[in-house]
Amino acid sequence: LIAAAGSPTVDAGREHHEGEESSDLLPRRGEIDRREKLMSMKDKVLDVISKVSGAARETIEEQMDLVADLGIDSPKALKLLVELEDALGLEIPDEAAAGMETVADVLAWVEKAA
Amino acid sequence: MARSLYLINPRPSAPSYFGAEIFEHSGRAPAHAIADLATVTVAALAPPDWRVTICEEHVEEVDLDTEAEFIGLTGKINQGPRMIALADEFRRRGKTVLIGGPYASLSPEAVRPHCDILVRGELEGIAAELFADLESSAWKDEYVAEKPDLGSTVVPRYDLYPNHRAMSGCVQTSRGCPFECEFCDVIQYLGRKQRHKSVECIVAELDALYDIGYRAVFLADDNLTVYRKRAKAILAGIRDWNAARTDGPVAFHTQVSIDAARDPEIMRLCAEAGLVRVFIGIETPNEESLKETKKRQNVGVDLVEQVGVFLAHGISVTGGMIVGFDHDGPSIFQTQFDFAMATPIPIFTLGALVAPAATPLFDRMKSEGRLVTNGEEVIGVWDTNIDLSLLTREQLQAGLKWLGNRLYSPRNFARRTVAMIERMGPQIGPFRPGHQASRTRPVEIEALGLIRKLIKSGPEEKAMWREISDAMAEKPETGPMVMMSLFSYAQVRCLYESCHYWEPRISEQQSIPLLASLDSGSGRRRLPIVGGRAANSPEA
Repeated sequence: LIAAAGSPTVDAGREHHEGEESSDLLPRRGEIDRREKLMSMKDKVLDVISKVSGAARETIEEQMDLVADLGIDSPKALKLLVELEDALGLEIPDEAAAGMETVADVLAWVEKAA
Repeated sequence: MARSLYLINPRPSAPSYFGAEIFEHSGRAPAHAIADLATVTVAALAPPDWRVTICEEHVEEVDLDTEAEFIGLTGKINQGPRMIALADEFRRRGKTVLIGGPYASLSPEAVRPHCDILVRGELEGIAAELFADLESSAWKDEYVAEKPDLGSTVVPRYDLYPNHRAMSGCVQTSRGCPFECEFCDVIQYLGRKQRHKSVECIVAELDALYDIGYRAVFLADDNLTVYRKRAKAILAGIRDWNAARTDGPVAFHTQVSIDAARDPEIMRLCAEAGLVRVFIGIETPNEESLKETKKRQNVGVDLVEQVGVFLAHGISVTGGMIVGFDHDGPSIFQTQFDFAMATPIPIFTLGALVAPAATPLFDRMKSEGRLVTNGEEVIGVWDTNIDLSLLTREQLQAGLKWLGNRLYSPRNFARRTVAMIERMGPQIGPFRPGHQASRTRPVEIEALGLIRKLIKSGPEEKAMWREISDAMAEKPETGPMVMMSLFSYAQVRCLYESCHYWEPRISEQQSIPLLASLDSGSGRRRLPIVGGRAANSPEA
């Protein structure tokens, strides 16, 4: 599907792609792009968490607590937030940062903000 | 009917190095760097059936419509104007106003006309008498307290305080200092004989702060380590207490004198207790000035080497820096800069020499006819109330502006911070590698936001962060000290910007043009000075 996809065109608010058969069963190009972007961002998040915490990337699980399981104290939290903002090109508000207790919380915020 | 008391810690006139005005400056809810100890202590001394409320005006509005019968105001000299304004307003509204605390004790004539009851000295010894008199409506105009024994003290009413907006809790383990620095007003208020709380009392207060959630505590001593035997007992008690915490250790910060570095046992105990940052009155590398001001503990020692001893024990240092002694000529600014850059000290509290009321310096300046104001507060950390010996006021201002901007250019701050990280020894206390991390409090998350904002404020700040961050990555255990320094740096920038001191281009100048033009042998020009007190210590 990806290989077959050409430049997206917009028709009455709905995206079509040359060579693409319109079907509600198949994800649309925009949705695919969004998912790919999200996957890339999640990859970046996990890379940054691994780099800041020192935990091997493959050992990081979504339910992990940033403080209790990954040892991310205030200094590391600063580094984490700065590196995340740089990697994602997003600004993380204080309120959002305060709500990030687990890896899943970080990923959920990124998904929402992306 | 139960009697009621409304205790207020007024806002200061201007930001200081140790404040947290950066929160409000950046559009956030105001916060306080160190929780106030005076109001919560007075609250604890009130009879149990009294209704006591506290207003920390650093973070909340004063309720002028309070129903409380008595209004209690406290504060230091930089809170004087606001204290007096509030007192006048409450009296206009028919309230009975009490004023106490350091400013009232050191400058009683300044507050006397503005209160119904003046309390001079430390309240503990006269609290029972005062509250009994208030209950029977037979109070005196003035109460003068002796210096109480601190062996058994009450646990302050931290529960009444807006702790969620304070970055650090506060415990006082002793009062007084045996040294006699000429410019210091603390010894005039608390005396030269140091009095100590019991370890049991200290631990009880720490328990209360820990339960509230504080993971940083300022030990509000004038000089924690000066009485070695007592200090060792207190530090051992704190060490044992901190080691037994199950939800992360507490980082302590305090004030000491440089001579502590000569005692290996006390340095080890400081590190084991979890002391991560100390303020030391370095003041000046000019030995003649140190002798002049009777700062004898700094004379004849290699100050940079002694600071290194603290760092070797994993303790960062903030330095007091004063310009304007009688032996300070125009070259002092370059001398101070060169000295500072040779140290691993990120933050210096640069200020002009000020003669606070009741100090020996005040008396000397008065007798020499060099007092420009009469003890009232001076606004800003770079102004003075004395006619300097070898500098005009213009030279002082120009030199301080050059020195301040040069010290705090992002590049120079980064250089000193990286030097601190590189020279920091291993943590042997509760912050050794692998220690249990504490959950970051909401107000600390906001502080991280302030640091992030600073880092993103320009390319030089970004480069500064990269340099510091890379060095910190090599020594993760230096993280708490680096964080404190970065927050302090953000506060310094706030202070300088709000006082219109911040002119980064000045930091690129290798010399101070105004000094060159004025230092041409034509002698000093004595100019009128509008006062200001150098807030160059956490207790100022």
